[in-house]
Amino acid sequence: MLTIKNLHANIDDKAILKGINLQVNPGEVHAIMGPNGSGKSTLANVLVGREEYQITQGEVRFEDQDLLNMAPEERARAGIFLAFQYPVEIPGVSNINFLKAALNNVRAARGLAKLDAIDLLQQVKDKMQQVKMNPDFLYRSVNEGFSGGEKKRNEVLQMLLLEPKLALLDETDSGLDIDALKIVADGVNALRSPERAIVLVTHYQRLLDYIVPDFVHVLSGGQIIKSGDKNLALELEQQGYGWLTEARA
Amino acid sequence: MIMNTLPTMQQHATPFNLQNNPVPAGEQLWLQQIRQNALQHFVKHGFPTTRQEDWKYTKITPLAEQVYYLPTRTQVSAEQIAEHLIPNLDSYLLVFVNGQYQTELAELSGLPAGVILCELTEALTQQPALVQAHLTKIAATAKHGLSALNTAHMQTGYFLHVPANIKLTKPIQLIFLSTEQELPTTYQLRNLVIADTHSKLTLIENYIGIGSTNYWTNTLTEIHVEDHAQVEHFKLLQESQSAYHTGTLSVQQGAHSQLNSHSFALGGRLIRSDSDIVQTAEYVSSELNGLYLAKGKQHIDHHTSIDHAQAYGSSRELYKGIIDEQGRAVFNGRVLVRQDAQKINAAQTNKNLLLSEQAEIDTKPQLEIYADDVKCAHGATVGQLNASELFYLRSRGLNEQTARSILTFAFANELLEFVNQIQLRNYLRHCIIQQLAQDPTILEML
Ligand SMILES: Nc1ncnc2c1ncn2[C@@H]1O[C@H](COP(=O)(O)OP(=O)(O)O)[C@@H](O)[C@H]1O
Ligand SMILES: [Mg+2]
Repeated sequence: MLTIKNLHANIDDKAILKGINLQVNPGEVHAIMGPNGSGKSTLANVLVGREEYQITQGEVRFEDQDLLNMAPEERARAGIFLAFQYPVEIPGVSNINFLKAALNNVRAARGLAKLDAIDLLQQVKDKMQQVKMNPDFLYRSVNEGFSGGEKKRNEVLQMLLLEPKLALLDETDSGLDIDALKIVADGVNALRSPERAIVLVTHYQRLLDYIVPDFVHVLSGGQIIKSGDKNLALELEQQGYGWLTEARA
Repeated sequence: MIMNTLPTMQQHATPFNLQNNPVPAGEQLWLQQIRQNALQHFVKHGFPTTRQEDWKYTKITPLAEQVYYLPTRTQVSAEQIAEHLIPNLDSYLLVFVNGQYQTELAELSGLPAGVILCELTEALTQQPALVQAHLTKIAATAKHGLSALNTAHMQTGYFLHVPANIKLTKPIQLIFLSTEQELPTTYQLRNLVIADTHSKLTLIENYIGIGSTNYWTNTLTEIHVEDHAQVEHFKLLQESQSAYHTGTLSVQQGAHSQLNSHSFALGGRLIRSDSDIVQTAEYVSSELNGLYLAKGKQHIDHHTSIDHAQAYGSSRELYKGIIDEQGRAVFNGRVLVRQDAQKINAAQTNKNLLLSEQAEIDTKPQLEIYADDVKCAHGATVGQLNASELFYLRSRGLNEQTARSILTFAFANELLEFVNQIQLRNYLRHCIIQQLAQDPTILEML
């Protein structure tokens, strides 16, 4: 589904990604771990088309398409979704209208009819219940004044509504208490299916107790320095990253 | 400058020159005197020039050079006017077309006893004492040439008197429509409002131009807000793309009174809009809101002045501008706190969104504070659309143009939140989106 080959990316002429290789197949769950500043968010943002990053080498294919040549909205319509580490606040645009626009655009791309207002509202409210969000949040501006946890839940809500083929979650678990963490995990697990793939960026094993990954990768210094199964995450939990990064140095 | 203005001054002076008897037949002497004084003032000072600090960025020489004609009789049907009314709004209504009052189109049924709403000239015959006691009592003739010109040449306009304790539940809609005409025409409109103590009212002035005629609207609206009265005032400018609109709102507020005035400057080749508020007593509240959308070669200038002459007053101003293409806008907000006006709370904000390289804004707060125990805040920003917000929307499947439209509209939308009338708010939303020429599908989204 997603094939990343020798991906290099810069920001402001500073090399951040230095040759990423990754293969993600339908049905799989991948966890990406690694020290702060190692390039995890950069990788996620490059995959959804954030323009600040310059791709200097490499190739990314999503299904049969050249992902790096697609506009951000085309990627979203093709079924890629990123739950951002730091969701943006958009004053003046109500959450419900934003969700409406997003859902109808993505549906149109899939050849589905526009939902009428009532069906749409019902669907949104159902999903909100799933992530235990108060319906009041629909009528507030997107993320404006939301707490950290509320923003993360709003990301999961969008993910559940848009039903992406490939869901990327960038530290969606950070800063959440255990109840909120379970809600996020339940959301991700609800999305899990043989046709979908999930890539989780996380620092913590505790999320992986709820969402068991098929693969765990360690990203450090802009490269994947180790890959393994779920046991790698347990090892990292106990020993940190030192033994890996030192072994390379 | 004076040389330049001479031919047009003649043009304007002729019909109203007292010696030449252009004054409406039978007009009272006191008014003739006022006109004459104002005319003398104008002849002496002429049009404002960019050498004057208040007119530094707004050049009205085209007005001075253009030959304008006086309105000619135009009659329109109720059907023709219907499309220009705010949909579904239950309101009282007066209609002016090409500077002519349309008696048959007025909608006054249900107006509470004692309330007078009519054309100014009718008020002059029906209520001469009331008019005389208030007309020109706020608007200083000397402020600038255009006010003087208006006073000298006032042709028509509306008059409203709401006696003490009467609270109007329906808004008053005032349509000033300009239709396609052969000759450049000028409308010198004069409006007078008296809101007596404890009264309450809402005014919606809607200036609409259709076609591409070059015309010039010069308005002066005086509002007397007596003690404890509450006035909500809207000024919608949707003049034609070749039209000039110069207008002044002059307000005097009594103790514990409240005035909220909203300007929506959407259409017109050049707009100059002045709002002058004087708080003459204690515990007065004034709020001014404005939205201006300038594109093409439009020029939109808002000048506000709030005179805190007495203690315990408050004022809040929010003006936002969206400027695209070669549009140009000016905001100047003067706040004067006089020596005895302690415990004043004044806040002023001006935010601008520049959508093109050539778009231009000149923004300036002008604080003059002579009292020591006051709170006075002001801020001005100029920026572009936020790249992170744009990306966030696109990452959810919205195309770039739609994302831009949504964010641009969201910027403007803050001003609609002050509009309580739902029909008016919907109408304004529609007008704004049309003027921004944005993706109309965003309407469904907002
Ligand atoms: N917008 C940016 N401008 C400058 N440097 C950046 C920017 N975004 C990320 N970086 C730098 O790139 C490196 C990788 O950052 P990031 O991908 O956010 O790491 P991670 O998500 O693994 O913590 C860091 O050194 C960070 O400081
Ligand atoms: Mg990160």
